[in-house]
Amino acid sequence: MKNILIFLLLFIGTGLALEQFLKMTRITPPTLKYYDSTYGSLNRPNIDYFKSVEGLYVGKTNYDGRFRENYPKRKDDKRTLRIMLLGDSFVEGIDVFSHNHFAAYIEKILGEKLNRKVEVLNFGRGNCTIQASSFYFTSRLSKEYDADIVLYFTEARDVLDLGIAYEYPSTSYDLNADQQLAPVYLWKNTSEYKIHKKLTDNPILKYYDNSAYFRLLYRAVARTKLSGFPVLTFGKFCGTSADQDYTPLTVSDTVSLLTKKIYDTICKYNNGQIIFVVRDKPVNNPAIIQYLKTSNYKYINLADAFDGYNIKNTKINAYYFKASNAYGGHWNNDGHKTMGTFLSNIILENMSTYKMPDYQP
Amino acid sequence: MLFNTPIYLVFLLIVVPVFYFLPKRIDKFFLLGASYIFYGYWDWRFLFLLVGSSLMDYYFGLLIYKAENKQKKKILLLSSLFLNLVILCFFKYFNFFIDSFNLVFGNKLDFLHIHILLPIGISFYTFQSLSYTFDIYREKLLPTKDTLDYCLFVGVFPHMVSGPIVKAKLILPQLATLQKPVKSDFITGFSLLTVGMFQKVLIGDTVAKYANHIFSDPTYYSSSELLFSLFMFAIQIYADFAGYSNIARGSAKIFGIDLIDNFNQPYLSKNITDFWRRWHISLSDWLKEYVYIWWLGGNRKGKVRSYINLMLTMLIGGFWHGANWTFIVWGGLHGGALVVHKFFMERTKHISIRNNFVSQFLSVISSLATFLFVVLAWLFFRAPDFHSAWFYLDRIFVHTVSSNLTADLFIIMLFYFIAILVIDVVELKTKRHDFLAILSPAARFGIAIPVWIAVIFFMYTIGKPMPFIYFQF
Repeated sequence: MKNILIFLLLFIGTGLALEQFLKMTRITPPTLKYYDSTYGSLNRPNIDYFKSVEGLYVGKTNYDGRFRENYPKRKDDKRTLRIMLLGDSFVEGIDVFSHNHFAAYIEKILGEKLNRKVEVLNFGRGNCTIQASSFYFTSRLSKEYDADIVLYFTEARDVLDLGIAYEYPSTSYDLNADQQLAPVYLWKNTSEYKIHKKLTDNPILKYYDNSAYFRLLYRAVARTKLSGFPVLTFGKFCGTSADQDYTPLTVSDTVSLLTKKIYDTICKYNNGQIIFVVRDKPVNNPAIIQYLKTSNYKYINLADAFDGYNIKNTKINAYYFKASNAYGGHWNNDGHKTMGTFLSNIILENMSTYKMPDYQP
Repeated sequence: MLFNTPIYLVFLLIVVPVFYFLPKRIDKFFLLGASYIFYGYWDWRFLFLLVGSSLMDYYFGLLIYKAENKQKKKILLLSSLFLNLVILCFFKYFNFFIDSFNLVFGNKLDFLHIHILLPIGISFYTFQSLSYTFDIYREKLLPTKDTLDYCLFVGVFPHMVSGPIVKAKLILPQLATLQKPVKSDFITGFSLLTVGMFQKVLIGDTVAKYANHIFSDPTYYSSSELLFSLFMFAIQIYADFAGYSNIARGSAKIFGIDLIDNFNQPYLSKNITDFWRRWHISLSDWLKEYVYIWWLGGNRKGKVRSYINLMLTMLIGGFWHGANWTFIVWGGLHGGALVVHKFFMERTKHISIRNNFVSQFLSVISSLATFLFVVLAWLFFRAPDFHSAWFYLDRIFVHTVSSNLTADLFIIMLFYFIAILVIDVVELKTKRHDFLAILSPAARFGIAIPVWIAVIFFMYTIGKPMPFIYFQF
C-alpha cells in the first residue's frame, strides 16, 4: 500500500512538473485551430504559440487569432493609413517573428515617409486559398475593419477549382446552380474536423488541449494517421524528411469561372482599393496577371522583387532557412525585409492614384 | 543510428535480451556485430575505416610490445601515431589546411579542395586507439591477444561515436572478463538512460530550436535576444553532451560495461580549472595524461614552461573539436583563462580568508564569473566563422530595441535553466548520475514513467531528430 502511494505521488508530481516544463518552454504549443459554425476553422485567440518547422516563431495570437498585437476595429483618425493583408501562410508568416514580418517593415517605412501612423492588419492564414479567404473577407473583415487599402495575395493554386478535391479548412465560395457565388461548408467533411468534434464532444477529452502531455498524444495519433506507421518513424532516417527541392514551376491553367467571380466580387469591397499581389513561387501561372490586367484591376507582381529565389540584384536567398535547412518553404527574414521595402515603395509611388475616402492625405 | 530516435530503443530492446541469453564468447561476437550495425546504419562505407583502424592499432600494439629495444618501440609508436593522424587529418582537417594556406598565400591550392564526408566519431575512436599504443609503449598496459576484445574496445556502440573517450587500460580488462549483467547493472543502466534521455530529448533538442534559429540569423534580433540565445546554446551543448554521455554510460552498463563519468555539474564549477575537471572529463583526462604531462612535460620544466604547456594543450584540445580557427580560439581562450587562474592561485596561495561570509561570497562570485566566461567562450565554439562571432558579439553590446520576444525568450530560458539545475543539484547531493537507482522501485518508476512517456511521444512526433553536437567531431 505504501509503495503504491509513493508511486502515485511521484508519478503525479513528476507528471505535473514536466507538464509545466513542457508548457513554459513552449515546445508543445496548443492546437491553433478552432471551428466556428459560420466561418469554419479559425485561429484560436489569445494562445501562446510556437513554430519551428522552417523558421522560428514564439508569441501569442491576438483576440482575432492573428500573430500580432490586437488590431483596433476602427481607425483612430483619418490621418492613420490602414492596410489590410489577406493571403495564405506566406502572409501569415509564422516562420518569422512579428517584428521581422513584412507588415512591420511597411508600418515603419510608410510611417516614416508619410509622417503618420500606419497600421497593417495581417489576416493571412496558412492553407487558405482565395476561395476560402474571400468568404471571410467579404462577410466579416471588410465590414469590421475600415482598411484604406487591401493587399490581397493570390497565386497559382487560386485559379483552380479545388473546392471538392481540396478540403478547405474554412467556409469557402463555390458556384451554385445559377453560377453565382455561394458559401460551402466542406470543412465539415475533413478528417481533422471529425477528430476535433469527437474530442470536443467528449466531456473529458474536450480539455485535451490544456495539457501538454495530451497534445503530444494527439500529435502522435495525428502523425500516424498522416504518415503511416511505422515507415517514417522506424525508417532508415528515423523520420528525417528530405529537404524540399525548390524547382521553379510554371503552369498554364486558365483562370476558372469561380476565381474570376471571386476576383470581381472582392474588387467591389473597401471602395475598390483592392490591390492583388501576385506570387509566382513556388508555382507561377501567368494567366493570373493576364486576367487582372485585362480586367483593369490593380496588381503587384512579386516577380519584380526577386531574381528567382534570390533578392533582386543580390545572391541572398529569400527562401532558405539556415537553421532548419528548409529550402523553399516561405520567405525568411531577408525575404520579409525585401517584401516590406518593395511593397512600401510601390504603395508610396501610387498613393495619389488610390481613392481612400477615410484617409486624409 | 542516433540515441534520440525510436529505432535506437527498438535496437536496445532486441540486442540486450539476445546478448543476455547467448553463451559466453558468442555474446561478445554478437555485441560487436550489433555495434557495427549501429555504426553502419549511418553510413556502412565507414565501417571499413573503423575495422581497418582497429586492426592497425591492434597489431601495432603487439609489435611495440614485442620490439626488442626502445628505439624500435619508438619507431613503431611514431608510425602508429603518424598513420592515425594521417587518417584523421585527411578526413577531418584536409580542407581546413587548404583553406588556411589559401588565406595566407591566395587561392593557389583551391583546386585541391575535395568534398569529404567526415566519418562519424573519428576523433573519438582515434584517440581511444592511440591511448592503447601509448600505454603499451609506456609499459603501463600489456597488449591484448584477443582481437575481438580489442575491436570491442574501439567499436562497442555506446561509446564509439561520441565518447566518453575510454582509455584501453580501463576498458580492456573489463572486456576480457566480461560477465553477464546483473540486476543492479540494469537498474543503474535504466536510471542513466532515463536521465540522459530527459537531458537530450526534452532539454537539448528543444532548446536547440531557439538557439539554432537565432544564431543562424543574428541580424534580426536585439542584443538581449542574442544574449539569451547564447545562454540557450550553453544549455543546449551541456544537455546534449551530458545527455549523450549518460545514455552511453547507461547503455554500456546494461551490457555490464562501466564507462567513466564525463560530466560533473560543470556549470557549478568554482573556477576555470575546476570547470575542466568537470566538463568532458574523458577528453581533459586524455589530454592531461598524454599531451600535457607525457608529451609536453607538464610542470616538470619550470613554471613558465608549465603555462606554455597548458596553453598548448588547450589549443590542441580546441583543434581536436573541429577544423576551424574558431575552435582554436575557443581552446586558446580557455587555455589563457587556465594560465591566469594557475598564476593567480600560485601568487595567492598563502592568503587565507577567515571570514566565512566573505569566503562564501567570493566563492559565489568566482562561480558566476566562471560560468559567464564559459558562456561567452561558447560563442566562438558555436559561430561558423570569426566574422559571425564578432558580429554577434558586437550586437550583444550594442543596445537595440527589445520586442515582445525578449520577455518570452527570457521566461523560456529560465525554465530550461531550472530543469538543468534541478538535475545538477540532485546529482551533486547524491554524488551520482544514476540517482534514480538509489530509490525504491516504486519511487524510481513513479519518476521515470512520466519522463519516458514524454520522451517517447516527443521522439515519435518530432519530424527531424536533432543529431548530437559532438557527432561532428
